[in-house]
Formats: sequence, C-alpha cells, structure tokens
Amino acid sequence: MIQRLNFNYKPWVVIAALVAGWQWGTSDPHLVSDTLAPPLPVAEAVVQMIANGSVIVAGAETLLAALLGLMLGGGIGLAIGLVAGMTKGVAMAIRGPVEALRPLPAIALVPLMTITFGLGLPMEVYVVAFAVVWPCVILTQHAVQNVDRRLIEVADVLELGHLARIPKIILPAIWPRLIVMLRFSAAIALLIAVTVELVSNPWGLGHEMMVAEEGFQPAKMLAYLVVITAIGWGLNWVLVSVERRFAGFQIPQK
Amino acid sequence: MPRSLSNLMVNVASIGALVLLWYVVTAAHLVPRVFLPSPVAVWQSLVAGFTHGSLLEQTMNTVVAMLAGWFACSLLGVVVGSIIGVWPLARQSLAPVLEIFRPMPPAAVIPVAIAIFGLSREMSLFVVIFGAIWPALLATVHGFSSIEPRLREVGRALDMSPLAFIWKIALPNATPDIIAGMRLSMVISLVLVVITDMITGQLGLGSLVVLASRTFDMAGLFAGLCLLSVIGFISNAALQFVERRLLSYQQ
Amino acid sequence: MSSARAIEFDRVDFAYGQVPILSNLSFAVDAGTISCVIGPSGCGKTTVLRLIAGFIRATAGEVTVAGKARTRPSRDVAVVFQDYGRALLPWRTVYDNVSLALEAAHVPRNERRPKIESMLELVGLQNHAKKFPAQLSGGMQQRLQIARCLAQEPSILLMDEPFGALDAMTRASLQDELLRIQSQRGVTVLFVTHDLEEALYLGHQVVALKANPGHLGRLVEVGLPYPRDQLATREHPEFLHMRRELFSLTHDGHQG
Repeated sequence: MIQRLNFNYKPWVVIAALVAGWQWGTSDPHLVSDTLAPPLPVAEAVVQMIANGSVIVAGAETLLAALLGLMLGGGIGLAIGLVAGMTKGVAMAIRGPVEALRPLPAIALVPLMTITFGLGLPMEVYVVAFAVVWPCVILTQHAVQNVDRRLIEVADVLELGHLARIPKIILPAIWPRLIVMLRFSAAIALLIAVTVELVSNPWGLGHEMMVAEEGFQPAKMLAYLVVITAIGWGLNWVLVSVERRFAGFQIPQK
Repeated sequence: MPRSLSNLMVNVASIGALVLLWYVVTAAHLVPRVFLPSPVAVWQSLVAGFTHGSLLEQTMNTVVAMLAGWFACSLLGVVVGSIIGVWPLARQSLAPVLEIFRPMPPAAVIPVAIAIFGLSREMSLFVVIFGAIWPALLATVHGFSSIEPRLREVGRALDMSPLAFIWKIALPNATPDIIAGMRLSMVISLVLVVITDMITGQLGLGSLVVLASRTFDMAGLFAGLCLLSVIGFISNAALQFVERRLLSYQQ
Repeated sequence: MSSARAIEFDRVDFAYGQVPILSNLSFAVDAGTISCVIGPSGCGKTTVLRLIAGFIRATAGEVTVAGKARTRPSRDVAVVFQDYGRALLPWRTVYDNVSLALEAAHVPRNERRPKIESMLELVGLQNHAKKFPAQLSGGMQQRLQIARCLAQEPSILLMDEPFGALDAMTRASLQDELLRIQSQRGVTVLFVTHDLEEALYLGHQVVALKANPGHLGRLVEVGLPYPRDQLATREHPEFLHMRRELFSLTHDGHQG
C-alpha cells in the first residue's frame, strides 16, 4: 500500500489571510485608535496575561462557577429526568411547566438573582444551573424512555423495585447518552458563566474582558476573547475525548 | 385530534397548578414579597404596562430585533452554508476555520462589537447575527455535505445540471437540518437581544428587567420574565409547526 | 444474433488503485434482450453495471453503448438501484418522484402529467400517486424506482440486484412484471443478480463471472420460450439442466 501524504493546507491559507486582513485593517492608526488592536499586540497580551497569572485566576473563577452550576443543574435535571422517564404521570405533570420555563433566557434572570443573592459566585452558579437544568431533564427523560423494552421486562421479571432498577438497569443503559448530555450541558455552562460575567458579575474572564473594553485596552480585550475561545475549544476537545473513551462499553440500543 | 387536545389540557392544568402553588406561597408569606411577588401583582403589572405603559413598545422592540437578527443570520447562514456544503474547495478551506470560531461564546463578541459600533442598534444586530449564525450555518453545511451518495448517482444518471441538482435534490435533502439549525438560531437570537438590551439600555424587555430590578419593582421584573418566556415559547412553537408541515413526508 | 448490439465489452480491465476488479472481460448484449450477470460475491458484477452507467471508466479496453464509447452518464441509460429506499426522494410524492426524470429531461410542464400517469399505471401505482415513499412497502418502492427509470425513456435499463431485498412472493411478481414491461417496451435490460434461478428465469442470455479478479466464466444463451411462467419454466428440463451446469461455476468462489 502506498501511503500518500495529503496534508490539508487550505484552512491555514484562510487563517493566514484572516490574520493578514486583521493586521491590514488595524494598521492605520487614524482609523482605529483605541477600539481595535493588531494581531501582534494581542498575542503579546495573551503571553503577558499567562506569565503574570492574571488569566489563570480569572479562568479558574469562570470554570469554578461553570462547574458548580453544571453539577447543581445537571444533578437536579438528571434526578427529575429519571423520575419523569420512569413514571408516566410525572412526565405528564412536568411537561407543561418545563415547556413554560425552558424558553426563558437564563441571562434574563441575572437581575432577579442579583436582588436575591447579591453579586458573586452563588448568583452565577444559580443562573448557570437554571440554564443547564432544562436540557438535562429533557435529554435524561428521553434516554430513559428509549431504554430497550426487553431490559425493562427483565427488571420486571426480576421484580426489581424502582430504586434498585436505576443503578442496575437504567443508568448503565442510558450511559452513552448521559456522556453526550454532559458534553452538551458543559458547553452551555461555560457559555452562560462567561455571559453572566460580561453582563454584571465582577468575577472571571467575562468581567476582565468588559473591564478591558471599558478601559480602552483593545489588545487586552481581544486577548481575553482569544483565551475564552481557546477554553471553549479545549473543553470541547476534552469532553469529546471523554465521550470516545467512556461511551465505548455501551449496551447496543434498539 | 382528541389526543393532542387532552395533552394541551394536561399542560394547561399543570401550568395552572404551578401558578396556584406560586400564589399560595406568596399569600402565606413563605417567601418575602421583596423576592417573590404574588402572581396577582404580576398580572396587574402586565395589564397596567400594556394599557398605559410602554410595555407593548418594549415587547415589540425585542420581538422585532429578535426576528430581524434571526432572519438575517438564517439567510446568511443558509447561503454561505450551502456554498460551503456543495463546493468541495470551500469546504476544505473554510470548514476547519469555522470549527475554530464555533466554541466562542456569542456574548463574548459584545465588548468587541461595542468597541466598533458603540452602544447602538447596529451593535445589537451585529452581535445577534454573529452569535446566532452558527447553528444555521453549520447545520446547512452538514445537510448539504451529508447527502446520500445514491442520490448523487441518481442525479448523475439523470444527467442533471449542477444547479438543478442543488435545487431539486441537495436543498430539499438538507431541509431538515436547516430547519433544526434555524430553530436553535432563533433561541440564541432572543438570548442575545436580551443581553444587548441589558448592556446598552435600549428600550426592550432586557432593559426593562434590569430597570425593574434597580427600582425593586418585582412585579414588573416578573412581568418581563413572563413575556420573555411567552415570546420564546411562541417562536419555538411556530417554527416547530412549520417544521412539521414541511417534513410531513417522514412518517 | 441479427439485431444491433446495445452494449459491448471489449477486453475490459478495471482496477481500484492497485486492486484489480475486472480482467479482460468481453461480452455483448443485443438490443431489446434481457441479459443477466451472475457470479459469486466480489466478482465485479456491480462494477460491470457501473461501467455501463458511466459512473466509472475502464482502466483498459472499451465499453461501448449503442456503438459509442461510454465516458459519462446520460439519460438513455437508466439505473435501478437495489437500495430503493435511498434512491427515491423521500420529500417527493410518488407522482413527483416520477416527475423528477421528466424535469431532468426538460419535458415541458404540461406534457408531464399524461406520461407520469401512464408510467404509474404501467407499474400498478396509479392509486398511490399522492403517497410519500415512506408510506409504501418495499415492493411498491421498487416499482416506483422502475417507473422513474422508465420515464426517462432509456434504451437500456440497468438493474443492480433490484429484487434482492424483497420477500419471495413480491420478488416473483416483480420478475413477471419486469418481463411484461420489457416485452411491451422493447428496452434492453442488463440485470445483475446473485440468484442463478432468477438469472435463468429472466434472461435471454446469462453472463456468468468468476472472481479474483472478475473475468468471464461462461456466456450462456437461454433457450427457454417466452412468455415464461413461474411454475412451468422453472420445471422445464432445459432450465434444470442449465441450473445444474452453472451451479458449480457460480458457487466455486464461495468458501464454506
């Protein structure tokens, strides 16, 4: 077999063109004084922020809020989804309220949460949890409802109670879907955490970025944008790897 | 349709029960009024806002901004997405680049947009288009590039022109993906309109919620949240309806 | 052998990269006849069909259709795929699926209706015109694909194991319908199958291939009279004789 090296260079050409265009568009000092910065100062700012540790602190704050919100919202969502998936009456009863509350943009809750809990970590965690809980309820419920009938019949024959069949039958059966749900809701959690910080919370990457914008430090502002995007990208990569690795021993679904 | 009717009745009853629970909690003073207003007060605030307040204007502003941004980003997303989807060179060079931009939180564009456009309507529109275009764009690319190889051969065996192939086979084939993407774009549009309203203070439901919270007008705040929820629900239901009509062939 | 040659393979080789698929294959199909290509799996049956369709080109030798070298697909050769579920447009009704062939041929809108209706009648789908493919049984979907292919008024109809995924009853009735339609319209049919009995039942000629790489095993003229009959033909001494003779040839490629 002859191996052909076909490296796809085309996207790199596009990226080079984008960076060149960015450089060209920001090279005129009259056009952009303190709104945008050329690529090189932005790269310098990224290096500097990593070197002095400020981006690590801010990033840790954002990730902490996202993680706590994900655990809270995901846990509640998983519990409600499990119960609703196994009991028809509960599924019917929650459908209306879920459909009524789900379309509410979580960010709109920031003012209310601020009044109730004040600014700071808890407020951000609750907003993230609100955003994450609905997709988790719906995805878990669907996953449970789609568990192979045969497995449920096996549980019936073994006379497993509701509590016993969750760890023995349901959770292993929906495991692959739960991993997918984790990736999906982790992305939402990060997104909402950054947004809450951009809107008001004096905490984390989003806040630092807003401060840089208000302080007319375009290089720093764009550096934070680069860092936030890189974190989103890295998180996605980690979770896709987790998915590949742990969705491996799945039970074939019908 | 007695089944969907009974479904609807169950939904109405369960939402009613939720509101009733809310009323009981507030009437029994289980939660301080400062944090949770009674549903009656919220209703009165809604009525007052619509009859002699600016609530109608604020709602309309939000809805119009959402629809304008959604329409623009859907159009742009579908056009660019279909070009990338059918043209291999564009796909090879642009698809990996799009993957770099995709994980960027849409709201993170806001500071950049403010730096360029200032606190203006153009800024809002830019943010909504930039943030909400991804689902529509990527779904269109996926829909066009995941076309069944058999259908390509059917097109070749019928000696169809490239344009006829796109119009008669590739586009209808991508429609389910495109609609799903557009539904997600709609949700993101609403979120981004609310966020830009909150930051810029432009007349809309986002600024209403912020303003109400500053004046501790909890009934007004909840009225704004209710309206946002209704807008989100109706827009999603409308698109779902269109989706079901267009995809009725998938039995 | 008096009639014109519709398809001709002249010392054709075909390879995917380094892997030879067909080697030195020569045979001809007379216009207005049915030829069946059989052979063990991996003998390049489908490759023969795709060469005639113009989806791929021979590495060496020449494939000619109606005397002209085949280089690209054209509408006078229609292809009926085995996986009818994927070859139909799920968003178009039965009627509109047939219409696709006429649209591709730029038939004016007002001339389409009578043609579509006669095609649907020919395959017995006239009462299902408004249904979507997903609402049809497998046999009906394959009838629909045949109708669409005939609507492009081809001189050659290529069929790639078209009845392979259907149950025995449906398969038998579609075989008889194919024979009826072919004799009515005089179209040349090249029918790829892995079922020896099906090949003998349908064909004027059977092209038996051998594998590794695909080459001609035997070229057999089937002397059975038309119209053929599911019972009488299959009990005909000639049928049984040829079945016995070709059986070993078509099965020696199989291990176990």
